[in-house]
Amino acid sequence: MLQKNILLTLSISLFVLISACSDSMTGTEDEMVSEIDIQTIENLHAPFDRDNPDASPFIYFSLESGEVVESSEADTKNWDIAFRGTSILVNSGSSGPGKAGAIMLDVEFNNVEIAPTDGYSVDSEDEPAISGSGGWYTYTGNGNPAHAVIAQDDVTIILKTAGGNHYAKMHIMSYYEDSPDTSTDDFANFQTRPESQYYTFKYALQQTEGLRELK
Amino acid sequence: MFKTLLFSLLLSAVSMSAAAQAVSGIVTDNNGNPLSDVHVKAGTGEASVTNAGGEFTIYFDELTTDRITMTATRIGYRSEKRTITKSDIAADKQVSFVLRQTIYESETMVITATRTMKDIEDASIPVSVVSGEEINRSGSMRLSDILSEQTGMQIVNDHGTGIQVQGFDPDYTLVMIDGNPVIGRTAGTLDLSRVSVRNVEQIEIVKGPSSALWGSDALAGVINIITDRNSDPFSGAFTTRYGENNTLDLNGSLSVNKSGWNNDISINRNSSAGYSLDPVSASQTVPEFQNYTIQYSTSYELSEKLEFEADVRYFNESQQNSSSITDGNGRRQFLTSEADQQDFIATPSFSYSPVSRLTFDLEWTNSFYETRSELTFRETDDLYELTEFSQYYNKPELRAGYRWDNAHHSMLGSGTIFERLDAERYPGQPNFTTIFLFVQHSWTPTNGVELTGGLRFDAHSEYSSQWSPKLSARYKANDWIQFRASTGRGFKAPEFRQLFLDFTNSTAGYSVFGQSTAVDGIRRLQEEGNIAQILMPIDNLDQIRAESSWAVNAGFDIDPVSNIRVRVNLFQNWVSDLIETAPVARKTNGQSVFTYFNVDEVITRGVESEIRVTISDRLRASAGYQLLDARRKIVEDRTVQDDQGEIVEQTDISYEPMFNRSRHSGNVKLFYEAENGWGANIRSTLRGQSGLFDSNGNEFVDDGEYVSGYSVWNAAVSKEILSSIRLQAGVDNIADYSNINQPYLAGRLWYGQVTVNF
Repeated sequence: MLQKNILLTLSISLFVLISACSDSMTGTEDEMVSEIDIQTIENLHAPFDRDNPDASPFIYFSLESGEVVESSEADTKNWDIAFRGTSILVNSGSSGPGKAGAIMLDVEFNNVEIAPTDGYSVDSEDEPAISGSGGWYTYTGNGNPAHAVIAQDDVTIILKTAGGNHYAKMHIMSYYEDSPDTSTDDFANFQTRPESQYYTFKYALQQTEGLRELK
Repeated sequence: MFKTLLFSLLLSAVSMSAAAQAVSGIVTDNNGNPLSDVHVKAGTGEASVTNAGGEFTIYFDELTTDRITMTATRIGYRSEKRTITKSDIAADKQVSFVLRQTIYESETMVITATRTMKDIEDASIPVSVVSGEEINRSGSMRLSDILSEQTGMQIVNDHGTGIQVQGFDPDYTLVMIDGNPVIGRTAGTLDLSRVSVRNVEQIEIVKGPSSALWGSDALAGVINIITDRNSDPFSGAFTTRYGENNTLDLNGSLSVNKSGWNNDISINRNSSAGYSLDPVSASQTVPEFQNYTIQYSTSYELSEKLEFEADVRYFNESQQNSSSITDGNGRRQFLTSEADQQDFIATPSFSYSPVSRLTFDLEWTNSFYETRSELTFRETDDLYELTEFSQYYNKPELRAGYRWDNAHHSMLGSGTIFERLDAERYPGQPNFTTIFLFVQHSWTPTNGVELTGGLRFDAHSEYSSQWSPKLSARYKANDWIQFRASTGRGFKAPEFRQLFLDFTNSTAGYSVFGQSTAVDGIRRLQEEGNIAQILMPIDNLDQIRAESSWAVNAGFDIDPVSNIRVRVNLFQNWVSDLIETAPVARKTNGQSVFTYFNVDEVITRGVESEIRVTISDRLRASAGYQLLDARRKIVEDRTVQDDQGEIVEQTDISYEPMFNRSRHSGNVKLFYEAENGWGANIRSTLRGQSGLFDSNGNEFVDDGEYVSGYSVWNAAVSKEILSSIRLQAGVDNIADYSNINQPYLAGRLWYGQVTVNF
């Protein structure tokens, strides 16, 4: 079940920079108005049954609407990213008809101020654009807590939407129901560890087409 | 009658020469017992040695000074000075000295520092000694019990109870019994609860790399257990201890010695019902077990120059436990496990000394270690899994020692180690051969200075050769301070498992491969459709290398007053190529495939300090503290942005705290002995906070990942009756501390013990 919670919607109008520095700026972007929409999505359930993969479809999600998109629309550009178990797709390449792309940055969410122009990966059969283990999460193996998927604090995913015309940054905060503290004994104990495959993430979407500013 | 005659003769001799004068007196220890062999020297150069009655007389030809300083010295005792005047001599005044034993392991001879018997005070490498007396008074049964109470030693649990020394995992400490390595490690840990510490004369501990003498594994240090050798014609002892968890320890020893033939035999049985710290687990934390240790040592003087010696030890243990698996239908199935292990070591040796300054030692160590583990379904009794493992270790070694003069001693040794494994996990019965050669030279230019240098060369059949140098120095500045410093290299050859392991855990489902078997193993799993994702390119995995370290140890012993000894040692270890497991692939069952990698670098450093105070003859106290900083080199390849927001790759290198290392640890001990046979002691070990949960998977300890420290308090009282029977009762872990992460701590345990000597 999806519980949508809009924490903060910021409409920031700022920096009409022409007057500030007249000689160095290049035209079009200068007059654009940055308008950033920050949302937090809690407990997006994206189950994956390994023994029965067909019965667990991807959960498709639109950044612009902040809503889940029906899986019947998988072949459209109406979704940007999709979740199933620890796998995440972007709407491009082998996954969909869109022009979405992703960059994994080893920078904290709040410290990402601008989207790169270049270097966006698209999904392929061999390698997804958003890498899982060692990417957005670390798998603990026999460590302690054992066999846990730990979302990484300092990883931010830069996204281009399916239309290829909006930039966004995204941080996955937890893979477990109600975002538990993973350093507790309760989490380490399999009997008391919350259910997995529940995504909690936040993202900031630049509403202005083509503008790279994300803060 | 004769004595009186002699005395009057002496007296007349003195009176005959007008200039000749004498000073006589007596030397005793602080209990009033006369001390023989004490060297008494006058500042003017004249000297004498005390007789059995502790008496001495020094004759002076001519006295040119008014005041004479006299010094009494004896090994194991603190020197004493007295100043006398001419008039004292004229008045025939008796000069008495009372010598106090040096309290830091007085009169202790050690062998582990240099492979020659040496007074502990004279060894240039600091040796810590745990006496058999302390082991008995502490009621310790197994090696892990007594080591946990020593400064700078942490018990850690990983497939057995091991010891962490100077921040190193248990893999890097060599454990020996009478100079022969104990083999049989599981996941690198030599289970110290396998070794009984009954019938132990002392345990010698050397910290810092000692590969120059002992070869592989002596990276963090060496623990050498010296078994008890009795010299009485016929003697023996029987000890039984019973305590909670149905823990029973029975020990008998017998010593028969006659005309150059010495025999020491001991038999130990140790059993326990085990205990559980995790109520939801089907398995006991420590399973029910029974084990037996039989030890026999014999030596025979074939001639004045040739001696034969043989040490034989056999250990056998059976463990019973339960576990559970979830079968294909999601049903929980209970399993019964029966695990047996045995190890055997026999070391015949000849010692030949053609002239007194030259000795040859020829010894042949034969050793094997076997485990057998059987899991059966509880309901049907069908076999679920059977694992067998055998390890064989053979080492012929020849040593020669030569004492050039009082200042120089050399040693040369050479040998070969043959090792073989036989287990399903290691296809093809892999073999290892090591040929080694070592030299050592000690130089004592003056009484208070000693330099020892050593070098060892190990040629492995599978790996590049290793050179292990070591240099140590000792400087006794004066009566109350002595400095020691050493530097050296240690190494640890990759183990069989790190090369050849081919193992899939049938209960949990993960797989571990050695470096040589990893590529084939992952391919095989891939063909079987068990691999979900390969995490790194497996075709160009780095070739594994031997782990090695350089270290510096420096410190001092201070006796500020006669009954206090302070010892301080600073250490730093630069460790490279440490081998660790890391996942290389993820399986479709959600588990990982692991193999071994050289982790670039670890640095451990710290200070170890100890203070021992003899409060009175009956009350002794000690306190130890270790400050440890253990850091691993973390290399992070990060994708970040440049000024324009474009992506750039950046490599960050930092040294970050390691897991399961306490920055602060220590111990406090108090031993009391009353005149009427009563004795009591209280011992405490303290361990500061350490990193335990890698909750974000970054492989180092962050602020939120520490677990708090703890302390364990043990106490015992004893009473000797009829001079040959000792009754003892004690309680371990008085505060009843337990934590699932410290499985070797069972919670509060009461016990009673009886020892009968004959």
